[in-house]
Amino acid sequence: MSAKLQFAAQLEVIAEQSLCGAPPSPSEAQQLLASAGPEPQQVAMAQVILGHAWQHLSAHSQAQQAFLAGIQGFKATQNQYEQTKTLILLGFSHLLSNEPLLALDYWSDALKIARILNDRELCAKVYMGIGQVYIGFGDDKAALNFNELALELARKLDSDYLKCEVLLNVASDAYRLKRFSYTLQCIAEAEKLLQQSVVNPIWSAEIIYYLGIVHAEQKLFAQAKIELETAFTLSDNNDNLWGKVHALTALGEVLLASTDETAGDILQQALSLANQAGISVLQNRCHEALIKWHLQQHQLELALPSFNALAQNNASEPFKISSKHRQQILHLETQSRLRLL
Amino acid sequence: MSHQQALLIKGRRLYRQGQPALAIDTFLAGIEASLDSDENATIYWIELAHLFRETGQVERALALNQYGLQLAGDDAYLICAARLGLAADLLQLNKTDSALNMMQQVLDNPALSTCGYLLERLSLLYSLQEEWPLALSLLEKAMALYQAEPAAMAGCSLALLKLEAKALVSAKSLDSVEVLKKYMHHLPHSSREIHIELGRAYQRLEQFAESVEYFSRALQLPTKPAKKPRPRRLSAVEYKLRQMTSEIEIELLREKNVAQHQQVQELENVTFRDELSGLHNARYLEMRWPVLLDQAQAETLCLLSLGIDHFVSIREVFGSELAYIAYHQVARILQIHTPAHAVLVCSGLGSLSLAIPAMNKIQVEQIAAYIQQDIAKLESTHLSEPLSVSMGGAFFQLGDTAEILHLRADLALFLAQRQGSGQLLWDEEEK
Repeated sequence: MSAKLQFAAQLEVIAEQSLCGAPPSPSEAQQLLASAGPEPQQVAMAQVILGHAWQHLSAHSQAQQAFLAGIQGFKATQNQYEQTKTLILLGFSHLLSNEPLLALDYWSDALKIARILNDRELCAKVYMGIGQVYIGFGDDKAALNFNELALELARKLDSDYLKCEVLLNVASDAYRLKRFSYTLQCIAEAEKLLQQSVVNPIWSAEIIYYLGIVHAEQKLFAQAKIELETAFTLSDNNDNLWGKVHALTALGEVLLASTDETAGDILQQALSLANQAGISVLQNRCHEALIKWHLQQHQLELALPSFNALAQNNASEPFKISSKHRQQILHLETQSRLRLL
Repeated sequence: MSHQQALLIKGRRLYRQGQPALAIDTFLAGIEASLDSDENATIYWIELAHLFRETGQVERALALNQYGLQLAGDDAYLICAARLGLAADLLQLNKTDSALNMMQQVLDNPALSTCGYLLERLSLLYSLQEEWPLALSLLEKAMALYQAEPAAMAGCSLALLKLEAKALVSAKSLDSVEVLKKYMHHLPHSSREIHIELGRAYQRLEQFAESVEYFSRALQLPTKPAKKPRPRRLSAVEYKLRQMTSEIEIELLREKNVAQHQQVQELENVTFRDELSGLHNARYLEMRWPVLLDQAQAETLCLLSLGIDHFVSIREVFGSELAYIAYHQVARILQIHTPAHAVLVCSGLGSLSLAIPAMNKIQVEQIAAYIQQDIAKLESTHLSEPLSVSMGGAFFQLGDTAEILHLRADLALFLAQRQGSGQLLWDEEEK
């Protein structure tokens, strides 16, 4: 095999691993990109790998730049399939960086091409993305509908990998809607797929995480503790910040609820990870739990930093002058100025 | 108090109490009244400029303050108010030198020392420049002049606590805290903010229990709903998505329908078919009876019970396989001669039922004759005697149930088989 072909094969393998939640480090990805030249298809692929590498570290802006470069590369080589796949990834990155409308823009572009290609797998992925946007707008039912549609497509396609991904999404929606038996049912199906045919370390950790949070909701704290510890370890092994911070926050809450003496330390660690990842929802949960913890320990002074942090939330937004008022003001100003003439 | 002063105080109070739209209405009413009466409306324009600045429209604020200054004439109070407004605008526009110059021009203004509101505005300017001691002392002076205005006292004491936090001053906090606690109920919309500031003040005073109490209360108070309105662009994208989604859903539904149709057929085959003959079974006829009986109210309904003669002995003597072949052959012949709307079912091993709607006796006998003819043609040399089928017939009569009709047809069949092979005998009523 020539060196060129060998590199192409290596790139394919790394791209697959990146998609499955185990990307290389950004510096390794940069090296791949440097080695990719002048073949445009390979450059585009290396850009996507770089995007995954940044995304894995929650470095959204760098990830978006890399994905965008990948899209342009695939577009130039008229590879519509890879272009659409990368558009979907770019959408997710924007969603994670709190720009849901940009995400929707990219996804509607992706859906258009996916329909032209008549590729239901890509359509299903777009629907998963749209589901996430609705979560952002607090409409969990709409999110579930879109994810269930994606699941139906995945079942038709009989794609285990896609099914597993969608099942986790449906489980997440069902959990937020407090439909715990439905959540566990989806988790069980996804777990079976991960045991049989699907390899994705992020999802393996997520499965255990969802089990943990459902059991925590059901007040089965001993079980939840073990599951969340395992989820954290799995995410830690995979160096996945998102997974770590979610698992550790939930673990801290479980420990607090079961009056475990390590709750305070775990919550502090979770807070520090949440700050690092910049996930405000988790920061707030950590602060709320830390307040309870310190008050339980009669350490009033230590609770105050968390009180201050929570107090900064929901700062009142400045009011707006209505257009009706602006018109009235302008009208009276004109009248007043006319009098001066 | 003049009408203008009353409107001014009312507008400022409404703004402090979190009702800016009503405050604007009040100031606009003041301007309208001034236009009608030739009063000076400058102070209202300056108030509106302040509101524009608060909403981030600094250029508009600057224009209105300039207009206010133009209208102010030689009125010291109005000049002072307009210049303070302009200084704030310039600071926000990062024109610090011009702002400081504007501030210098008001420091000697005699109106300043007699008006709490102007002192409050000047304090804000020093605060923007992080000159905390000056800002604090001006605010305290303003409060001394505000004794008759509780909402203003509440607003100033809240601002004072915030300033003290920024200036890292805690010596006076206890006084400020007491003042704020006394007047806080005049600013109900700011309750959460006030509780938070009190929590912070007690923290500075190292009174942690009080601090925790106020923070806890603050966090229990409702915040402004952090509802994320659905942006218009989401609706536009939704529309596009809905079109594409409908197409995909229709495709999926079509596929699902085909699959369901197949499932229904499979299920029907399992549930309503006789495995041996492939004909419908008695359960199927049972399911059809309600419709057949219903139709029988308006038209005739004939039930034929059919039995392969000597079927049991054929099976015993010649074996099941031959018996089943014979049964199968008879079933095929019956299927061929069954009219379109009739129901033919296997009712037991070697016996069948045929429900024929909308036919008279002669027509039924004609069908029976065709059946007998075809059966007679069957190869039966391997049997001890030719294969034959006996039939018992009964027509539906008013008041009959399915069971009675069956009973009558079965009785006729029983008699037919006793009379000899290959007979059609009618129930007593039909004779």
